[in-house]
Amino acid sequence: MKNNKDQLSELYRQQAQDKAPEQLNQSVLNIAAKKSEQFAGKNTQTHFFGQLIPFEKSHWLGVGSACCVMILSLSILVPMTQTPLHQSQSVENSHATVSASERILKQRSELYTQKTETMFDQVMDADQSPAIKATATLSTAPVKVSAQKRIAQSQRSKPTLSTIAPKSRSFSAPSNLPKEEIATEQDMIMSDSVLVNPAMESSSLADQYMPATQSPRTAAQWLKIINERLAAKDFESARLAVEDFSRDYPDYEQPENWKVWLHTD
Amino acid sequence: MGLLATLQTLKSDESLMLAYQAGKFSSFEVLYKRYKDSLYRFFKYHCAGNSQGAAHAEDLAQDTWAAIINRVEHYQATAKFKTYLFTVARNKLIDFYRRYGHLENHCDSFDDEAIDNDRQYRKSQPSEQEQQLHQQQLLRQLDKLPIDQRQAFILKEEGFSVAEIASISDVNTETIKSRLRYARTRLKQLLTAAEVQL
Repeated sequence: MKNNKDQLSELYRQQAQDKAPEQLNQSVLNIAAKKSEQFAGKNTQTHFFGQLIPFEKSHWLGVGSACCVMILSLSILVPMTQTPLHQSQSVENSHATVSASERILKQRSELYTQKTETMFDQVMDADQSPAIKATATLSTAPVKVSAQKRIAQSQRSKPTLSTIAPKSRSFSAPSNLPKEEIATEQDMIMSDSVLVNPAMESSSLADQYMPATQSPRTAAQWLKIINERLAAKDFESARLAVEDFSRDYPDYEQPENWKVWLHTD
Repeated sequence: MGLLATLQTLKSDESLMLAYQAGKFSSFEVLYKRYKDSLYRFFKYHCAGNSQGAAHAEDLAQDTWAAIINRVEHYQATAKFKTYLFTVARNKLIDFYRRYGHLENHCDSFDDEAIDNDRQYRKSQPSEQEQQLHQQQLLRQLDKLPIDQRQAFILKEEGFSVAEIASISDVNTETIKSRLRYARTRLKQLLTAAEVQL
């Protein structure tokens, strides 16, 4: 049986060598090609820019998926980024404002430092060379003008602010400059010191003491001021007032208790 | 042959069919080249006893391929493509026999009458034709087999397994084995009788 099977198979292989006719092949392949074109027509959608790039359905699905992901990402990210953006803008604005104010303060601070140093130098040199002092005063003229304006403003709010600090008295006396210029310079120093240290504005000494150069007082007024200082046990202020009083009224003989309390001999 | 074409030939029938389903015509070309001759032979040897056998075989092959192409949208790779192709081919053949009445004319079993008829047929043919028939005795005798035995034999010689033939013929494997056994016995007798006659 096996021989029979093998013989028949061999015989079949020898004889069964017919091949499909070429006409049949062409016919079938044409049918298949037409069908394939139909598939291509169904699966392909032309690009809206003008049939330049054929996009298959799978491509459109990919593009659509990518767009969905982008939209979702934006919808998540935009609310997260908007608030910090506004905050950062406001922070930037505040930084800009702060930096501007810092700049102004810095400029003022530098200006005051320069002026203070200049004034300090002037004070130190005042006793040695009045001419140099006058030059220094002239060189700081713009500063002096602005200082005078600030003094005028502060005088409007606090009328007694123009009074000079006791320390300034120490260099006002030996100056050879005209009294008005000296007074202006003293005011400028006072105003600068007040601006640098606003606590000086509330000083009772500054409020109560008025220099003789600005408003000459009568002997009775001096006596009243000095007695008030002594009653208040403000001996330092009283001593300065006595000195000024003695300068304005050198013939006035001081009471003994003044000499004891104030050591003004 | 390019690299792409070489890769195409390495693909399975099913993947090629799915690729064609996706619109790749080249996949179908590869698939067609694999089975065009065996399918054509399947039809031709079934119609070997008919003078228009080759023409019928060509028509039947084209109908079968056309059916495969037209149903490609519905193709699912649940079975072997080869089995699917020849199942369609078998159905086409059955339709052909029913249409032309050949199915009833073929005997379902071996008998001496068939051999006698064959002898009478060959006696009436010219010597040149006898020579051609002599050269293709087996194929000539195939036409004398019952259609199921002939179909099983042809498919088996075209490389199908018993299980695949059973699947194509929609019967169990034991039936196919029986048909194959009967077909070989019959062919042996027919060939022996033909040789004696020759």
